[in-house]
Amino acid sequence: MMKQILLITDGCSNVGVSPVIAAAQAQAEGVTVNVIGVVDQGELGMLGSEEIREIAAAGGGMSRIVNSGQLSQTVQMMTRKTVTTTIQHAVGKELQSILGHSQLEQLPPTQRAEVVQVIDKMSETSSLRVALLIDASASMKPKMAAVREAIHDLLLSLRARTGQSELAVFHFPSTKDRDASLEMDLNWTNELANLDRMFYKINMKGTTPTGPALLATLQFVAEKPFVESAEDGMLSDYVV
Amino acid sequence: MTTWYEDAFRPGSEIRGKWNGRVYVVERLLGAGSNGVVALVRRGTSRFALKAGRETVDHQSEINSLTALSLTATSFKHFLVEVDDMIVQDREIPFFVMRYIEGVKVSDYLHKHGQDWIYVIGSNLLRKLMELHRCGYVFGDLKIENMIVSKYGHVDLIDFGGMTLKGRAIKQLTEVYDRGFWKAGERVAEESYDLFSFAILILKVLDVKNRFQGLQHSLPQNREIEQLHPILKDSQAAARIAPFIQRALNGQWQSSEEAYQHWKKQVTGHKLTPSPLKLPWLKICFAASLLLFGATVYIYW
Repeated sequence: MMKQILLITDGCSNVGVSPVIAAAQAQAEGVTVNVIGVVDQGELGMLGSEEIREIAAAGGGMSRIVNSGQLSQTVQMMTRKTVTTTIQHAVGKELQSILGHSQLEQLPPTQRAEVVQVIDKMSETSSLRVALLIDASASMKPKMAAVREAIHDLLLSLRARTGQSELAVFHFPSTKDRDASLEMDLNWTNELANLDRMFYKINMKGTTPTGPALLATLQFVAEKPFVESAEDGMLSDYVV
Repeated sequence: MTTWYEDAFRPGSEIRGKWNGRVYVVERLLGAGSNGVVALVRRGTSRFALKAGRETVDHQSEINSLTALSLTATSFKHFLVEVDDMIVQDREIPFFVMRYIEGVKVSDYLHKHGQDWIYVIGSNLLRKLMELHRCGYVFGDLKIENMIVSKYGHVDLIDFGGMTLKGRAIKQLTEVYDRGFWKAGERVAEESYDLFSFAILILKVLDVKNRFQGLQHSLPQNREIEQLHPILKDSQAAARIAPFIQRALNGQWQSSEEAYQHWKKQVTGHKLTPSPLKLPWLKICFAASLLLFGATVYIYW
């Protein structure tokens, strides 16, 4: 089972554990973290773009800074690329042990063709879970329509895969519970109909607890039951 | 900023294959995208199209599809000429060489030769799709940019990056041509997927009032396939094929074979409406010549 967390944000975290540490923890547990910064009027400063880059680097994933119009495509591309890269990595390890190198480009064309055929097939048939983590701080409000569309679009593509593929959606900070950093919008699903009710009642708030939210999402992705009120306990597991 | 391919693909420069050692001379760049470059090249007296890609897996995946196709007894036979690597700035860049097809974009062709050519072009495109479908593949990313029209409405497909085995998830797509984008079906490689894109392609080239422009950026919850129907009424060429297009948009063609049979009937079954002026003129001329004949006979009698 491949596991990914995709963080969509538009600024710097300002509360709790560092999101870079949280992402490194995810990577250690075999979960890839990708990050998209959504910027419409250039409000993401140096600090924000640096954080985005670092979270992805620590999480073994990739990062992009885009405007709302490019969001759907970027989400799509990142998810797909991450699947291919994960599998390529696994196949690369095998190549390394057989050939002493793991570079596809070093293989003669006919062998390369066979290896890529295997990568293609595995990319299509392996099971996959993607947890989307949406920054719901006040500045994200005008971008939520684009976020919804991107989620819809991603689920459409996941559904088409041969392997079992599911999506879950979270936003942070929680709008229900003042003290919780994370709230679930959608449990693992591959049904499009379940998306319709999402985000209608989000009350955007100021703080951006990206790190704690990332850790809580990781707990969920790592298949520990999701309990929204158990925030303190979960956090203390990771805070060093 | 210079891109990685600028030097390697400058007109006149040589591309040498690492494995097979063949040398190609670049004539000019045909196109460059985010993950590939296509150039017109020459070897001896023959011209080819050469595509180089930096994303090794994606690139190889397209080669695999083309290799499979090139072995079939279809019009795609021998489409793929050679596969090799080139070295650019100490890095291996994989490339493949394919048949070079000279032609223009379908929209330019219709602009130059008239919209009535859409019937022939549609037939030819459907036949291409049928061939692919028979081999077990779906083209996937069917759009104006991925086909070339040459003399007398001859059609060729040119970018096979979206080609997908039937039943799998579509590998590569363009939003407006994608039935998922219009909430009209799944992104699974089925014949009806290509036929949906086919319908959008036809609508796009016949979209005289540029209605697509506005729809493309509408919110997904407001986006519906019915919004495309007015295009069918805008142009005379579109009116004739309207029922076909609607069935394709609704996913009601089970196979391209069935769709093609219907397309042919729709196009050839109709009497070609002769332009209304010609017939009266013919009659007048005929009457005049009769009169003249009568007069001549009378005079000489």
